[in-house]
Amino acid sequence: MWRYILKRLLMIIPVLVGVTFVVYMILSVAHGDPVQTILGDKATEEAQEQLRAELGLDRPLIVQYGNYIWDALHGDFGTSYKNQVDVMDQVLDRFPNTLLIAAGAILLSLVLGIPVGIISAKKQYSFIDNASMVGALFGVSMPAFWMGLLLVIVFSLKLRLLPSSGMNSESLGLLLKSMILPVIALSTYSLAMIARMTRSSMLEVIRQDYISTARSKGITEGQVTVRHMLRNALIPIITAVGLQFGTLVGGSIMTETVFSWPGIGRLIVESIKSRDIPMVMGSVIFLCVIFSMVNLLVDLLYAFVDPQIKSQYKGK
Amino acid sequence: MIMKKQERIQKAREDVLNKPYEAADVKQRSLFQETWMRFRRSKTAMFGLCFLLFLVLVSITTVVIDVVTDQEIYNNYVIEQDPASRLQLPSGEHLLGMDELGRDILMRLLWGARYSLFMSLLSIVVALLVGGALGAIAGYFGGKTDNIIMRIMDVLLSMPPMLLALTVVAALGTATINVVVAVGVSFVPSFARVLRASVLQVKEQEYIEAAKAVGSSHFRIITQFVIPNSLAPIIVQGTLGVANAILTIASLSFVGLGVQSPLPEWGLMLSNARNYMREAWHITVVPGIAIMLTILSLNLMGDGLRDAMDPKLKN
Repeated sequence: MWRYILKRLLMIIPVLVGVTFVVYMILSVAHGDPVQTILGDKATEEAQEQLRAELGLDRPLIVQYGNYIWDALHGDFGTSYKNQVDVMDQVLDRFPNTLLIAAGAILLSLVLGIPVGIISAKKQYSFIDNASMVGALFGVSMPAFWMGLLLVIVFSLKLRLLPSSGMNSESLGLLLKSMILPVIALSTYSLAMIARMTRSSMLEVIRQDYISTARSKGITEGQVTVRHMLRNALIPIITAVGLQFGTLVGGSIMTETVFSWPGIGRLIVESIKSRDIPMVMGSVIFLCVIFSMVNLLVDLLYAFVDPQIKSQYKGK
Repeated sequence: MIMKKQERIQKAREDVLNKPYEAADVKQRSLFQETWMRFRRSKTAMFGLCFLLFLVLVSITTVVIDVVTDQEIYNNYVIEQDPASRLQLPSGEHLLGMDELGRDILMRLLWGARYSLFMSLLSIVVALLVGGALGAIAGYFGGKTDNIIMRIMDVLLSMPPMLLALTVVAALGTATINVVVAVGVSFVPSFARVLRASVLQVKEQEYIEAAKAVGSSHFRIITQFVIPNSLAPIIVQGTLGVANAILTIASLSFVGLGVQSPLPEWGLMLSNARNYMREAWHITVVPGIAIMLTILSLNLMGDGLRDAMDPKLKN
């Protein structure tokens, strides 16, 4: 099993190189000459050449990529075209805000989604099952940004209970209050998806013979549920949870736009609109690295729950 | 005439042997017919299908109307602004009310259906073909092939779909076709992964071993046995994929990086409505319901298809 873990850890390196390469290439090939963006159309030939040499743009693309990564590893993502601020500073400034609502959302979806799925499966076709599955169906069908808008209409404009936008970090209470609506909007999809996945995965194991065997041994229903059903149903659930992180990144971009939340997603959207390519590149690469790390953690989790992986690497 | 005992027994045996064949007269049904028969029984799945067919019909009709009338109706009712009636609530004259620039929301919804529908379908079909083929090959052959394909997929999977789409849009600009490319690319790795996983399971079955034993070629085994038996999850994923693509396209338009004004794309309508939430709720609610119903229909259809294709999965 350790071999599996080591293998996975080593595999992350080419993945990271690949991702950064893809992003770098897409963004630097397609967006045209940055020198003109910076200096404008009226700059002289010499001034353009000088800046080009300064930025290292006269060298081959692969060298430029190498330089970019080398600098990035030293904490330098370059400077923004737009307002000359340091990209890394901006990214590190914004990221915790995104992490805040993303962590809140995943926590909410796990804490609510898995129990709802288990109860629905155990009481299949009951009122609880039907109600929660209809709810989940609407949950996966609802765009996060629309959910956000509806929440604002109801809780901010009509009931005037919660702030409609912005992040208030004056005190913990106010921060939590301003987090509530974004977290709910962001978690809707993941929560519904995890609940559905848990239910269907549980239903697959619930009628297996070994469940009857477990019951006939006389252990409690709780033990049967957790040790015999949930453990066997866990792998698809973990996969579903792992897939949610990607959705969360997309969802947080939308949620941050709706609630004017100062996160990294909104930074990306604003930078794309103002054609601030270094800022886009820095934030996208940063998010991709974080996302790869999360994927790695999910994969490592498989080593502990998937007997197939365990046996595959037994004795190695 | 008295038959010999031996002959009588022989005849009785033949009768018994022949009878079940005549009596049952089992009609040979194709996999498609079987699936359709079971699919039809689910009311929710049929609702999904009907709603989607309705949308397809609306999209085609509006395109035809545009061609025939040389966009006259489009220009007069979908694009033309009427400041006097802006933010009007739903009424007999305008069933779903007027938007922030005084355009009929119902007309805009009908004319906007094509964006969600055709753009998402196109991107998913491309993604399914590419991703499905890669996943099947990786899962079936395993080893080095699997490793190479899946590492490339890992690279793409390490980019959340929305982020990949945003990057492509950032590079190519916000043209409609770029959005389709962006969304299509972002779905390839997840389809590859799903099909690979189910192929890995199918591969271990006895019938694959049997096919190998009688000397079937790899191509035949993959296309005749592996893919049909791995299809249930990928079709469900594909239908959900269309739903996701609709969502991604609407999302891109919502943040202003997808379909551009004044086109009546649903996500864009929501984006424009955002600034008028205080004054009128209906312009925020109505387009959202349209998006949700479309995605809901696809989800219902996906569930119905899953149950119909593999009754075993239906607990």
